[in-house]
Amino acid sequence: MLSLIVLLPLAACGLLLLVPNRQVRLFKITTLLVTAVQLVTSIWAYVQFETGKKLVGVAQQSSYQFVEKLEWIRLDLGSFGQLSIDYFLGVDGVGIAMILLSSIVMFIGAISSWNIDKKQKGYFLLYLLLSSSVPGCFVALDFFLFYLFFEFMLLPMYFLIGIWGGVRREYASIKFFIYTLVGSLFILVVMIVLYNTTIDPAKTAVQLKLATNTSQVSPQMLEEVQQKLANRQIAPESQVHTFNMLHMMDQANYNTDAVIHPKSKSSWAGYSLRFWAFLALFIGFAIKLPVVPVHTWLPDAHVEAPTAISVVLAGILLKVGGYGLIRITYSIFPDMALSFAVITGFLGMLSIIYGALNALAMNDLKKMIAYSSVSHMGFVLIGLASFTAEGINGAVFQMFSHGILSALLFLLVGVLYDRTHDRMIENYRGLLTQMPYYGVFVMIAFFASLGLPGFSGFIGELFTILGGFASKQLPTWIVVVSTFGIVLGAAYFLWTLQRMFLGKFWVKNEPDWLPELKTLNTREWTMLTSLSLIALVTGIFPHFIFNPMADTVSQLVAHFFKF
Amino acid sequence: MFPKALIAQLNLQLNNILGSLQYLAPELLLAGLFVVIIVVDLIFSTRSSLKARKQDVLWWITLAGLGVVVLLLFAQLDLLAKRPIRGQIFLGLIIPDVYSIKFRLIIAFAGIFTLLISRNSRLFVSPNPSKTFRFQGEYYAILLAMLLGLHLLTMTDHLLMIYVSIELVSLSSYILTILYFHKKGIEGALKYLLFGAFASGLMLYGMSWLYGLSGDLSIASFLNQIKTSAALLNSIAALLVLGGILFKISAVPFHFWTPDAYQAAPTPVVAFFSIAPKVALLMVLAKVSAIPATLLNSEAFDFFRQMILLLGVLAILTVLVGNFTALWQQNVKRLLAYSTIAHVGVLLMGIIDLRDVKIIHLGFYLATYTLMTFGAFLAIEMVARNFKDEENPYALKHYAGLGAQAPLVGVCMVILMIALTGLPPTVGFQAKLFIFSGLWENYQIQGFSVYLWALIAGIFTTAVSLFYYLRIPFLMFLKNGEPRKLTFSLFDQILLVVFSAAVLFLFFRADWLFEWLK
Repeated sequence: MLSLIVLLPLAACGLLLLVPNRQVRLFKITTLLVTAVQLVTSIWAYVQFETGKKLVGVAQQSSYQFVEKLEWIRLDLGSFGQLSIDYFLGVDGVGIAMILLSSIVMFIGAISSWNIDKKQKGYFLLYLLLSSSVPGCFVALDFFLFYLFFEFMLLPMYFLIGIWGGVRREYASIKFFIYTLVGSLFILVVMIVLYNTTIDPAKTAVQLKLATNTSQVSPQMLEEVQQKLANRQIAPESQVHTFNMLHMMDQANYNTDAVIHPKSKSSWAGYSLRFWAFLALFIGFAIKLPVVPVHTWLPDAHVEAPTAISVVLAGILLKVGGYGLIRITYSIFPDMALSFAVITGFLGMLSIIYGALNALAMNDLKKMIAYSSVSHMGFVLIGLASFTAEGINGAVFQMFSHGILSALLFLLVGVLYDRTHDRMIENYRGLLTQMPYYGVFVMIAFFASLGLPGFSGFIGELFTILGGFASKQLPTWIVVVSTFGIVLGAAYFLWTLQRMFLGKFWVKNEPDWLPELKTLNTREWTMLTSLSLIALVTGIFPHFIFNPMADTVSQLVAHFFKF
Repeated sequence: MFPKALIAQLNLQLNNILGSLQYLAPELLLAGLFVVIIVVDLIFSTRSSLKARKQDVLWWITLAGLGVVVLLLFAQLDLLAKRPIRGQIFLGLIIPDVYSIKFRLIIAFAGIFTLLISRNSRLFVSPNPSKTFRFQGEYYAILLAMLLGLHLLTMTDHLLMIYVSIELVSLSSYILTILYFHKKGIEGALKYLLFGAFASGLMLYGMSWLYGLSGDLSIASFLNQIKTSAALLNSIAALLVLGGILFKISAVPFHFWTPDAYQAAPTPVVAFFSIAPKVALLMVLAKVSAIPATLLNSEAFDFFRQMILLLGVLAILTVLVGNFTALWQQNVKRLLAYSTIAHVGVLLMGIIDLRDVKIIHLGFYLATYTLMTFGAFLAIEMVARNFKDEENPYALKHYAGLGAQAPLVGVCMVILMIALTGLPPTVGFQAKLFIFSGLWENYQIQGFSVYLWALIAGIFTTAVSLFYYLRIPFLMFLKNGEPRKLTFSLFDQILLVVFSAAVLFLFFRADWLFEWLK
């Protein structure tokens, strides 16, 4: 099932490559169909997802569902042991929420790509690539596979912004690329280190001739292998080094002498190498999230990207950062994450306040929303740093909710921009009288984003803040200051609403713009209504998201405190 | 007349040589081909009716010959498996082990690729009829001679043999560089010749020291002697020899000739230079740096630590200089020249790995780099051919907006540049991954911080390299240029697609290449 979500777009991409450029409609329809199939499949997966199962720990494969595991690359490196890379997919409660979000957003993005008017073939091929790699990140349980998908989001995004973007698209796309690439190189270093450190106990058992194949390996054998590893009794030749993330989460699979082993005394510049590895991973994903002060690529990329790409960027690409922090950084280095919690929380607070203050100062509507994204993603960090079940539930919920709401917000900017090709807040006044339906949607989106109870934004922020207060890790002042960010959020959203939509109708360039300011068309209606509904429904019935997630999160929290 | 003992010894040596000949079949064929090409060239130059077909005939003969060389090399693999060598062959001058055969295969394939990409090269299709390229016979013959030298390099650890082969390779490459005989070319070639001759001299001097220190001409015996000789003398001798080798593979600080020579030489030759000599010389370096297991924890290990430190620092400098200088280049050929230097730095990082597995990692890197670099040079040559009327056909600015007019070349270019950077989903990623994880592993075993710094430098410069590699796709797709009708020959396009597809495919099935290299 997960393979269908990941591989279908690739297959479609391969077929469309053979279609001549002229068949514009075919490209659009195929993309729409593919994303629709993805959406249906992930809804199906969500419905089928079993909740209330007894979970046995994040490092166990049985805690994940829809698992697909095939051996992909296996190399015998002689005295260095073996290298093993698996095609290993699976989701837990966090993954299923993200998969659902990504297919919703990709589907909406496909609809909103309808009015792309140049080089359609290239655009839709790249879009299909993107709709394969983004869900790929959320389902990959092998680090190598994850990294492949992670890198593969970059290139399509670079071209999508760089070719179909606005005036300063070249600058924005290269900036986006460099920031994210630097982040991903940090991740690469740690991936190499982790792969050198970790062995696959099941495959090593087979290598040691304890069993004939991995399916026959019993839990006792695994313990035996781990025991032997701890006592340095496994020769390097028989160690099967793995990229499997689940094995990386269990320190019993680490080579005893490895420098990132929790017991290792190695240090560099006064800190343990384990800390440096954690920090590199943290920075890598923080750039993606983005966290102040490595957020500066985001406003540029958003402002220049075409509407559909802004939707995808804010809707899911940022979530890959948050997801990576939970799944990889926190799960593999829980002890370091715990000791880093105050700084994480502080960075979260900084993002919230700094993003909000910037949003207040922006004249460009799209930039305002981009900074509001920075601010909202700060709550994810607060939730994570709290190390409480509420906080982490809230963080994931906030990611889901922000994915929906930011998609909605960027679509709304796109609606206006399509008509007038101008996004300056000061150039509009009293739009509500001219475009009442549009105005209503803007109000819904703004109020939902600023945390009006009844919409999803409220739940996410509430739970992260609750988690923050309940946390033993975070000092209270960080949470209090962060809460102030909600007030700032209300300020910039309401102020914008007042400036642009209330009062007497006036636009800067009336003769040209007035005839353009037509009411919404069917396509826009569909997208805006469905997103608003999702925001409303998950706001009133948050357990749609919380339910499948709850077990996973409590398991995560237990894992974090295992040290 | 002669004393009996002498005759008996001569007899023994002759028998040894005759018995060893079978292990040299590919090289003998190369030598034979060299002669054949010269004769054919002469015959076809006699009459004007024949002259018209000379070009094709020479090309096909060389291609077919190299095809047979590849087959013979595969046959050698069988031969070695069936009849392992007992004792010495060629009196110890030649050691044709399995890795040397595999490295020779990479070299032979590089030779074939060179022929393939010269098919439509400006070497043969001159823009202006009065300036036809006159030295076709020489081109093929010298290419074959160079191949012969490279082949010999991979299978010897005898200083004399190394020197002779390196000189054969160097002399051939001086001539190949200057084939165009235009002013700029002569400058580059002369620089190369002067530097090269100097480096050869230094190396020879160092070798005489090595001989004096160990009383034997084989590297292995020098390595085994280390514990008995004074450390400083060892270091000086090793430094001199290393300097010569590092010059030939254009490692910093011996890299100055590279961009000029590359700019001067015809593109297919440059592509060949950028890979084939490195394959052979890295094999030599791997032998020089193969530390006898008995020495690993002895006092003599200090000497090796010095050498590792030296090579490690040079590797770091090489990646830094190569990548940072490439950033400012406005000429694609020079850009790729610096990119080659950067790759040499990474290869040197592979050399300082102390485990046996390094030879496989290096082989993997070299084999995949062959595909990428030939693809990249082919692509820039295809583009340059469309700008041959311009002052500088290789200027980077010509690439603006080409992507829209030539999507196929554009897409292939993106793939190849990503591969050269070393990012997934191209096999360049695994190639770098193996080398880098080797550094980390060695750092863990030895606790020697040069490994860690090399790893950091390697990763950091990978990020830097993206700036200039990505500049080509950036110009092609994101910038607008004047619309211009581009023509590419079908042969070149297919070839380019094959290179790019191979680079992609091997990412997913890297284990195939890896298993084969073992």
